[in-house]
Amino acid sequence: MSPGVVLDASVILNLLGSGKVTTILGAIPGRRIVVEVTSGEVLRHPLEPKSDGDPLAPLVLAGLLELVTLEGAAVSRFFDLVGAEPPNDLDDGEAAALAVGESLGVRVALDERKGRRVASAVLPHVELACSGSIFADAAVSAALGADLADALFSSLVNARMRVLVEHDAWVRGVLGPRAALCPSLRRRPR
Amino acid sequence: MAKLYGVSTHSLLRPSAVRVDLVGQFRRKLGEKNDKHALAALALLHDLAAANVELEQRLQKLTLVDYPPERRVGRGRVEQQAEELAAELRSRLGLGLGAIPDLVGLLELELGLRIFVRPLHSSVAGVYAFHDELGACVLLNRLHPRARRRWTIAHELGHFMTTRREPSVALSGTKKHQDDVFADAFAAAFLMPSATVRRIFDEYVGQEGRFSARHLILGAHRFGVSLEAFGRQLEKLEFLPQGTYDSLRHRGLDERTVQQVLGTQSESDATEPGARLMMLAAEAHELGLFSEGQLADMLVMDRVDVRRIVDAFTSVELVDAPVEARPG
Repeated sequence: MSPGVVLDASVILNLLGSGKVTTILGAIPGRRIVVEVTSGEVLRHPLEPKSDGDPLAPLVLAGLLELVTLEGAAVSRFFDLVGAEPPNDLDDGEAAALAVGESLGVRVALDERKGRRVASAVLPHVELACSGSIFADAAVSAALGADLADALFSSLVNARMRVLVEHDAWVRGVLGPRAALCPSLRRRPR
Repeated sequence: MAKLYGVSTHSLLRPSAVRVDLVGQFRRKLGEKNDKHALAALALLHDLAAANVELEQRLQKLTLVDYPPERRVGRGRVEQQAEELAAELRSRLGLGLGAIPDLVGLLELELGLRIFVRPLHSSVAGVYAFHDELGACVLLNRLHPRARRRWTIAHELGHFMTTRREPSVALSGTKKHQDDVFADAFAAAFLMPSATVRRIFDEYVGQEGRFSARHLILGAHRFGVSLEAFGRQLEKLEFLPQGTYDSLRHRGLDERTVQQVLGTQSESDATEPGARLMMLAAEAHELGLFSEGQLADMLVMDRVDVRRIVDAFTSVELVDAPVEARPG
């Protein structure tokens, strides 16, 4: 896998919701890619719900995100994933992120249980990341420094970030008593 | 093609997706007089109803439908026919003559109507449509007060009872079609049966010897209707002289007066319209049938709002214990 990450909408929303998206993206080594189809699913900034602008445009302009389109082999993979028989069909954004990740040989950050299940079965050669692993990454944690707990808390409360079972203990450890205030952490891990 | 139609590729390819042409049906009915806000509301109603049906089918939890027979408006006084039909429906639903506290819950549960509420343009109070695949569906404007929404549902119920297969849009400030005159009369009679209005009027006037603005406010609150709806009903039934309501408004009857009489009242419905749809969506997500992105697309919602719904319906699991089936 090449360094970098393709971000699905389920993860981008959490990074936006952290209030520290520029710090986080700046600390991720390699390419930070979002597919055009996926970006179309990020309709509102979780911290600025009344704003009409494209929440990703400033990040693309600042060079923190690279906007790519579906091309070549990724197009047919996209249609395979979107048009699969239910319940293995994926939404456009997830399918686009996985198809581009496969075609570029870059890991894909995806939080959705269904998307991860399908990706593991159909694209086992594509490495998966998630919001939890991005926050827990040493470089990202170091860049956030003392703001790590606040950024996590903000993502959990404002974007209702999903936390995979493998990161649950780490997230609770960082948050301390504030973990009880996070609605998406109250859900029973499955 | 997805770009051309402004929809997701997934929604075009998903075999279980329900697609019918409600908007086309409406365009044909209105001809040249299409209203863009009405069409947008109807398109949203289509998406919500289609999502509801698809989720029901995938979860095998179909809505039980028990529609009363459709009745065409005949010759003679429209208001009398509306009152008779409203009384018949009340009787069928076992309502007696009292106020209806949970109108949405009643119509969803007893008749199988699909009722949704979303913010719409201020000129659109609600839309109604019927299709064999979707059944009877109503979309209400979340930005309107609860009393107004109750009136809109009752109005659309009037259409459902008489011109079931014709879509209808309740628009503010437009000249009323004959069907809408009937639907308004039906709404008034269904929400405020004349016998009950009389009883309440007698009770108030008996207490103080005269009818005051305070009585208007209390009566409207008892029926869950607006001051204007209750005032007009009192005038129509000749308990008050024509023009009394307008006169009270000119003399300063406003929201502040209402708050002085009632205090701060909760605006929430006993049953939130569309709650069943949200419950189905959360369940489908939990079972891994649909991702949050798919649900956001189907329900025309922001993804963070979909997460809120999933959290709300899945975070409390106090009733996991199996319930013993009752014999017979």
